[in-house]
Amino acid sequence: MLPTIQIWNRTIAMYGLFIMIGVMLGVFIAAVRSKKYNISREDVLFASCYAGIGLIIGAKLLYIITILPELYDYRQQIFSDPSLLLPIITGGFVFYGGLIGAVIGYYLYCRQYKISFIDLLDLMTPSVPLLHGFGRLGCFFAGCCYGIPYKGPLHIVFHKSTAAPNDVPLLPIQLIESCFNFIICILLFLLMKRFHRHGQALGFYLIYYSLMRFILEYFRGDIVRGFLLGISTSQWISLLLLPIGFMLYNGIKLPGISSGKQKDG
Amino acid sequence: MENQNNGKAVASLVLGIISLVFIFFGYFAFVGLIMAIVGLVLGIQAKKENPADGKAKAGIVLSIIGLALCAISLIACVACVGFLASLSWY
Repeated sequence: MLPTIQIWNRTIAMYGLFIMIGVMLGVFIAAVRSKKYNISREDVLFASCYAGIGLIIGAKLLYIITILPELYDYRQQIFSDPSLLLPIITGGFVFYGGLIGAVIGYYLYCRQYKISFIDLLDLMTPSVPLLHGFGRLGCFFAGCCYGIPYKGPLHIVFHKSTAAPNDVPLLPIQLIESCFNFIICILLFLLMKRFHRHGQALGFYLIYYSLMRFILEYFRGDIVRGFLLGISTSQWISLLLLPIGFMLYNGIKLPGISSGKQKDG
Repeated sequence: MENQNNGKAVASLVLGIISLVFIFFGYFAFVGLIMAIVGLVLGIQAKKENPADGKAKAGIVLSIIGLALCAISLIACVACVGFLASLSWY
């Protein structure tokens, strides 16, 4: 679609740009809301920096795990020309890895500077689907994470994509997932006052997103995501996160997260 | 303790500046990304230990800008334009 743009003679990837817009908006909204949670704006910014580092590392690690079989299959080509590995640095991030990495980043910051981890999670939860929604818009522009071939209404056709098959009508799965992410973001903001327990918002998000992702994976046309027993890596992680979401939503105590505690005020 | 704190703030400032330089070096922006990450962690530690430290604040700001710009220039796309695409061109 439009994978890159030129700004001051420099090529900027739309995906990276959209992710940055999402991150900045998410952190800004969390910083504005931080007073309600008794967390300083500085801590929101600093903790988000830790989370950002975790996000990059987690998303990249999970991507490398998903392509391990291919790395093994092409090992001879890689040994003869190691420069083939360079694109691994730029391309290839898996959202779930990023989410887990970001949560670990928040946890490490909270542990280091004695801040309530669960309060911070409650505060940051609505920013996650916001960031992800922008990320999927970036995917749409880059042409990656494309859908299955589809000739019905609202199909899209890529012409100069390096990722998606060109001149083939496809389901705009990136836009669909982006819409669902923005919907859950709005829902979380609307329902925030109704969540009376710590971790309930995160639980709600995990349930919604796991179910959504599990279903939408069947409509993805890209197969570069690793499969085990017929379902993709992201579907496996969805299956793992779904019970965690239910536990958080219903106030069942998880190690390190006092989800059952009532919110103050 | 103050010396150590000052050292962290200066290191953060230096790493933040160097990370900004790496934005212009293609794949080497990856090195800038790592420097910005280290600079950010050191800057936050220094700022927490001495909130009035201007060098730490400058280090954090430069490292955040370095991290954002290096990431933008590096991150091309999700799970696709990466390794396997290059193999198919091989």
